[in-house]
Amino acid sequence: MSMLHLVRTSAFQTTDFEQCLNVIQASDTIVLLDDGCYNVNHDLWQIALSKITLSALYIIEAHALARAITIDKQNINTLSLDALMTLICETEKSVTWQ
Amino acid sequence: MSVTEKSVAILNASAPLSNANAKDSLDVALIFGSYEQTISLYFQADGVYQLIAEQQPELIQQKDFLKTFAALEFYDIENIYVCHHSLNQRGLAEKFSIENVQVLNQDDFAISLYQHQTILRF
Repeated sequence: MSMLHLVRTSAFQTTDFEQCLNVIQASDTIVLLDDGCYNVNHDLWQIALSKITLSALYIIEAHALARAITIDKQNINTLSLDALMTLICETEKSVTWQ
Repeated sequence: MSVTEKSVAILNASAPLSNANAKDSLDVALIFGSYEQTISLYFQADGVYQLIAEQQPELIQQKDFLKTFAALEFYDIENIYVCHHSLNQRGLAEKFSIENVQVLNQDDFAISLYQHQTILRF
């Protein structure tokens, strides 16, 4: 059964995202939100891309734009907050990294 | 008895939107400015995100306190330093929301910071 990983902290400040990547499985989904959005520009993001298919990697668009983070669709997909709610409701298991 | 003036620095190390550190720090800086006390601002680690241009906090229902950085010059707060290493680590260009920002390499950043007797870290 796949896991939804909600990443809320910057990997430049904490090791939360690194810990997430240490347990992640190929069928899992990652959502970057709040300061976790900064991780799309961290070297660790390449590890996420190598472990998870691009279609299961998301960033909350409003949270990224609020932080002036440029979104490259080749690295990540955008998600609205409404879509995040749907995703959470559809997912049986989730973990929040914060 | 002479009174020795202590020089104060604020070391900002927090990203702006997820907690109140950045706003609190800016408030402190403006208070010092209001009383014409010299203060220097340093931005390191995730603190460098505070100065990046084109942020839109209103998209996440937050008041845009980052606009207040533009007021620093009116309070004669002109010593604003950013760590180049921290920008580099985060893949950030030197594109700031305010002018008068000095980007220093890691050694110069430390030397400059160490000239202050008191350092307040947020």
